[in-house]
Amino acid sequence: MDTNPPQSKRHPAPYPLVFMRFRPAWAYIDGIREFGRFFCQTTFGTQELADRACVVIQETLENAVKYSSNTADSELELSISSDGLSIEFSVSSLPDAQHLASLRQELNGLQTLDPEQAYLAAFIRASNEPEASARLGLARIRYEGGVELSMNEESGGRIRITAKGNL
Amino acid sequence: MSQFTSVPVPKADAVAIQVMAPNQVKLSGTITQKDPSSDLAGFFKALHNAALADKLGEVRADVSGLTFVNSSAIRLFVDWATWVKNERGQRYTLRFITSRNVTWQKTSFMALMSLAKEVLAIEQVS
Amino acid sequence: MAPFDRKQPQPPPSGGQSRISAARPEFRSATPPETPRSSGKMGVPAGSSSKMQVAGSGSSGASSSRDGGSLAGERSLVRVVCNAGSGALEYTHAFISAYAADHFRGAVAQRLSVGAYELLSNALNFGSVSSDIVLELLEADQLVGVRVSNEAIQARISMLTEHLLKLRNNAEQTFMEELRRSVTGGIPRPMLGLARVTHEVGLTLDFQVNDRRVSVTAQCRR
Repeated sequence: MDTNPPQSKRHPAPYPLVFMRFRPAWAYIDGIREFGRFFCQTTFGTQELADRACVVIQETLENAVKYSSNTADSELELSISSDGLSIEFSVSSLPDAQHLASLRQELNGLQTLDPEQAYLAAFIRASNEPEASARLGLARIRYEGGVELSMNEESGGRIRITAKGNL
Repeated sequence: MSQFTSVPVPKADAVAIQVMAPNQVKLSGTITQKDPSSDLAGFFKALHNAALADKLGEVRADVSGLTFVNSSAIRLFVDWATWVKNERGQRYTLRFITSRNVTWQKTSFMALMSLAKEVLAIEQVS
Repeated sequence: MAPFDRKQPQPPPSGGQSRISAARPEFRSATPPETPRSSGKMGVPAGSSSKMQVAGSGSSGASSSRDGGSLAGERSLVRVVCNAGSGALEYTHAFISAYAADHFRGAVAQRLSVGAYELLSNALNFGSVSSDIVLELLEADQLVGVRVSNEAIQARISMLTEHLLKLRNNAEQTFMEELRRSVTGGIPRPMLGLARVTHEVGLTLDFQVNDRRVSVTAQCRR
């Protein structure tokens, strides 16, 4: 029997394994995260990857839900892809304009530090500014999720946050 | 009478909380609500104040059964560590009991330790 | 042993497509573009295809499909790729059920939940281990459905075709037969799943074979 799941075989480009669309509601996040955990555990066979997937899904969806514009076309899309060597989580959303500006700034700031340093810096910021928003989420995705983050701005004001890391 | 064990335990979604004499609080489950501070920030602050009032040398926060939390919940632990760190009078050691099998605990408490190692202790259980 | 192995191979019609059933609103089953096609082997010419539709119990309606394509406005709500023999059934079904319960009215969600379970269970049990199984939850203006596609050996495809013909001819009788056999046992193994989908929850089954890739769509009105 072939014990190598087809999904973990090499593909020349990211191969879509999961796609879903849903309204930006907090109530969905737990269910989607746990689905992602089981999916990654079953497909790739490692608990470590399943745990990383949970962090990436939870934090990216939280951001997307919190800052989605309140319009009919603000549906979120989550996809998980793999080329057999790496895994990609991508979340497409329609954020409000104010959030988009701060997201750009925060992602740029994150890239200047390695993931561990950036996470520690976020802890220090949270400790020094008890009344301010924690902004731990993106730094946590990079460090605990073991992924790099990028953002594409798409037509119609939509953005796509992609988290890509090794399997 | 111990103030620590008299702190009222909030009812929070998906997380079970127990306060045990003389100095232990145990949390298990998950914390993923949008604003966990509404349930838990006041509770942690009350435990902190009670520990100071009771002149406890150590508070044991057993989070080994917390299988997943969001970053807003991690912020609550940062805040608690910061309160202890910033205490000018007598202060206690905040000892987190963590699980070596739970990934988020390994990464986040290691980061927390580097933030306030003079007042924190991390104990790992299986 | 897989039940589809116990029947004599009966290749589906090859060299073009043939519609067997009467008009019904439907999703056209289509192999997802990402899924690699197999070349023809084991007596099934490459490029051969067949289609069949089995109306759910008590269903009626008029066709609104277009030849050779998917229904206008069809869109995928959820799409999951897994592989035969994996433990994907329980958690995928739980997720699809929860998603459907939130997205559709209660009765429709329950029907789709049964459809998703039975189609995915069949694919996981009988699909080829060397190719992907794709589950999709779909919606269009008037219809909702769940589609599962997988590759299978010719003997299994033939057995499935025969079973669907029986269901199309008399869903209730087939359901009762399979129910009886599931209690008493028998050879080939009982095939209650698709009978449940058509008779118990009244979903219309649309079945399509392209080469060795089988797509089954269970659908109903929203």
